[in-house]
Amino acid sequence: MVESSNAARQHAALDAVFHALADSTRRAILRDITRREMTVGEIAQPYSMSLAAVSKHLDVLERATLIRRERRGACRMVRLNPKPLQSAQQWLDFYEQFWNANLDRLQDLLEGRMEPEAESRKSPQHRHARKD
Amino acid sequence: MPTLETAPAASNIMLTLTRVIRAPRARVYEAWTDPEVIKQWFGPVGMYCPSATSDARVGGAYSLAAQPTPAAIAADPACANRGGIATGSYTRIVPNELLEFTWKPSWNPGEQSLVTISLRDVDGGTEITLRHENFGSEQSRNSHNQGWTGCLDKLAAALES
Repeated sequence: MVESSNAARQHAALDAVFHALADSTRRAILRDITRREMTVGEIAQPYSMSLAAVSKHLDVLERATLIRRERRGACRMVRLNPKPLQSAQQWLDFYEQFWNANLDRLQDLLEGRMEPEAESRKSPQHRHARKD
Repeated sequence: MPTLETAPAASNIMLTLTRVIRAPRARVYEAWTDPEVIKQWFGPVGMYCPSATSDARVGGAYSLAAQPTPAAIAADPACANRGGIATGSYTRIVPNELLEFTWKPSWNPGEQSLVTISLRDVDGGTEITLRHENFGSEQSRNSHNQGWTGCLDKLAAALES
């Protein structure tokens, strides 16, 4: 099946977010900069790794557009971009609503509460055939 | 109360819902595997299920169609085209206890996800737990074998404040 280019872009974007979040150090970095933007040095400080290693993590986060980096004078500032996490959140929100609605109906059916109104969910022909 | 959670060392994003249904386990299981029963309940809000198939064995295929109801179309003609179908195959089955299947929705091609239904007896009926895991799209599936932990909704909430 051929995806529209828009869907393909969205998939690539979500994949980059998944990949970025799949590493515990990167998740910790995101938590650190949630409260405020930080310099690369401040970010690296709690972790026993080189600035180069931290920069590699920041590269992955930036490709996923989870962070924005800018130079301000002598400082390299890193701040969070919350938008990409929202598409993963959207998936969760969609299916929470979807499955809750389905489980409601399943429960109503099995517990003997399927309303007569449920008949109207079927096609008009079907409904008329059942009327006697 | 539904819970949104990710399991420790999970390799995906996961949604988990649990509820107790006052009906025997075998009937709940049948409701997921007998197409004639499926059609009576499956469908998001404003939709119904005109057709369902289920070959309930490991490797067997299923399909679940959803179409907007006449009432929904009357209220909003724009939703007439919003039907869709979910297909996939069963990966694990324990009759009356567990049903696990791949989930491929027509409205999101490329999605790789897995739904697991588990059933157990509790006082008053059957506890059903539905877990839906999203592994990303096909390309990402092979590229990371380590997942992300932490609570997505908490992080997102913190980001929005």
